[in-house]
Amino acid sequence: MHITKDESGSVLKIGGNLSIETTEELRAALLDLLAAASDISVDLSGVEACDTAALQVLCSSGKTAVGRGKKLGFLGMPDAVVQTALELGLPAGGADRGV
Amino acid sequence: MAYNPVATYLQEAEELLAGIEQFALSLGEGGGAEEINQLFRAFHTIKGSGAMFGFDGIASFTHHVESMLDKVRSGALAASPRLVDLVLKAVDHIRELLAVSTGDGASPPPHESLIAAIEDFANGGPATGSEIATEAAPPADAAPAGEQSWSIQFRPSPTLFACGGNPIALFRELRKLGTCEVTAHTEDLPALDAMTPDRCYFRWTITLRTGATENDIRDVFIFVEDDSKLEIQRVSAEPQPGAGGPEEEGRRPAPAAGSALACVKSKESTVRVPSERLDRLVNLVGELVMNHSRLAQAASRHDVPELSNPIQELERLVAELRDDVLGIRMLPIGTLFSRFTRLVHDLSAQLGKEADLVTAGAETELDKSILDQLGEPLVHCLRNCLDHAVEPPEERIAKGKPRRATIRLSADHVGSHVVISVEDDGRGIDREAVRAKAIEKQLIARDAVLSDKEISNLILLPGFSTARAVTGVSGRGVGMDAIKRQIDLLRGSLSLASEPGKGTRISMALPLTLAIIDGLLVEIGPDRFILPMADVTENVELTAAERSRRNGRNVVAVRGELIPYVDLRNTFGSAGDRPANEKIVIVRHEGERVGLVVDRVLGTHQTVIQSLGRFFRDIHVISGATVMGDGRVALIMDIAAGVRLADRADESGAPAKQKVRKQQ
Repeated sequence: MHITKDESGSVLKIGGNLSIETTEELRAALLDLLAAASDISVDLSGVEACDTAALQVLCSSGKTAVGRGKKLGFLGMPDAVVQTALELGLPAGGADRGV
Repeated sequence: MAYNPVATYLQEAEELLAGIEQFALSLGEGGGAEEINQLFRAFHTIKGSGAMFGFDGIASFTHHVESMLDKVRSGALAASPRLVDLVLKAVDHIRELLAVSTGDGASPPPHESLIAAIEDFANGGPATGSEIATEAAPPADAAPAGEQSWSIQFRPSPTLFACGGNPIALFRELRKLGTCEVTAHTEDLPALDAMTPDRCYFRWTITLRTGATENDIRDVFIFVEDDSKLEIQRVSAEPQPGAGGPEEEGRRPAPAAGSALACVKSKESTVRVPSERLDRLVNLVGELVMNHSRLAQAASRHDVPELSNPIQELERLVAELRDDVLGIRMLPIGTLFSRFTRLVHDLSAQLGKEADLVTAGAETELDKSILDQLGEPLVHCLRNCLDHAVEPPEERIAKGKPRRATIRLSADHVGSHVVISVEDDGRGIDREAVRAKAIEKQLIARDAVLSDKEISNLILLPGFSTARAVTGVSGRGVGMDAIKRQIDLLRGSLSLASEPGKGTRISMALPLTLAIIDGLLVEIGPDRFILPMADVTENVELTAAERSRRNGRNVVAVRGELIPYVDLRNTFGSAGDRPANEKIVIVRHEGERVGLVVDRVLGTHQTVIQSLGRFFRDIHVISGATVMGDGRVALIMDIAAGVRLADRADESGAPAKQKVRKQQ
């Protein structure tokens, strides 16, 4: 997994393989992002694979944003994430709504 | 005694085989679905774990047996005496295979004929006229006629991921069975800052339309079922004439195969015993010790010579029994250590630091109950270490240190204690920062003069944290004080040593056992106290003349060496007059010899430690109490705390008695 932040600090670009080994890192990065700005987005277009644990973190970040009254959008939702969400019975694209 | 997974497998296999024999025999005596299920699970475990540890021969052989049992379970075949016979033969065969793999047997026995017999049975005619009915599932040929809808509630254990469980794979398996609709429930998912990302918070409702039986569905979850909550219910059952049992069967709690089997029979060399039984044994020995001292006391009053010999003999036997029973509860600390290598690896990655964990003394043994409560404080310790003490790689290089930090986790026997220390080569405790923070939090006065050691020890106070920012790892100020509290609860002591720029060492001294110790019984005024024998080195006399010779300074010369002493009569504010000749019990305290002045030394005493309860938890000088032979209570003194208390009383010149209440 690799995470990069743009200069504005409000867009997080995540790529590579999101798995349980990297969830803590992912969580920390998302927490950082949530603390940094109020209108933020996460670009997932580079994600190649995503497991259940990583998806939990993404969902939770959506939930957290809603809870904190922030606007969090997920961009470039790749097939890998959509596929995982579908297989787990989560509404695809629902991550940003925190469900 | 290092942890050996293969040895554990062999032991477990032996237990499972013994259980299988039992179940097979009760199947022969008219058992039914339950036994078949247990058999299937047991063989399945033997196969699965066997393959995992490289016992391929066993795995492939067991596979045949498993297939046969599966057919019986699904109702395609009926259980019969022939099945029982085959299962028992299979058990014998697996035993032989195990013996070969451990080097006890000669060459692997031929099994072609047995496999052929098993396959024969598995393919043998339909289930008719058998004396043992299998009410496990509806007959297999009833299912395809109409598919059934099942509602499955799956709430995985939070540790699902850590145990290698993968819900995606499970659902793929389910989809193979039929049309499947999976709905995730996310309401338990906490906010980002409160979640532990490797826990599973989701739960699922699954609607499955399939011709498969409930057992087939359960099989999908077989590896996660034990820790997870799984409810399978038929939603719209097609009329099932003659199938009376399945509904009940559906809600039957998952059989605890492991525990049931474990009780059946044990391997000759080791016995697995539930720890409650050991606790009970320790309690009984405690009672025995107490009763012995009552008996001894009564006998000494009547002065009957015929009694004194047997009582002495009894004392020796009880002491031996006590040591043996406590020895059974000892476990090597290595079982705990092995968890931490992973922890350090994960944490250091998370914190952008590089660190290696080196462990030593993994074979050191500690009482199980202590070991169980030690995990948490050690995790805190390592977290603190990584978060606060260890510098980022660049900073370390700039300081001329190796890029990777080394954290040493070691355990060692020191006297009657086990000392566990966590040592790092990080930046050490920043005494200035600690001092500033302590003043800011009004823990010390602005002009307080404190030694380096005292300053370091400030970080043990509740709510103390010098971290500028609270990180996900530590810095919430629960660290060191939580560790200290936990160690105190275990009657241990915590000490810190730190050299700025070089590193910090946290040492925890823990008693070997929490239950029974050897004590020295002493008397001060009307009260009796127990001093832990392990700390006592010798007893000397203190005459009134000697006392006054030193101008009121509390020191005494023992073989030319001056030893400071603490007057326990003052400490405890005991009533009554001092005897002319007092006794000094000399104990070891932090490597120094210190004397404790008492009225009389009464002798050794096997002490069954009773806790004083939470109302007295702030009294540190007393670590517990014990009931004496005559029914009186003696308090057990915590020597380290007693000496510290006297130290402080000395410095402030205030009577120690009042300090007892203030000291926290």
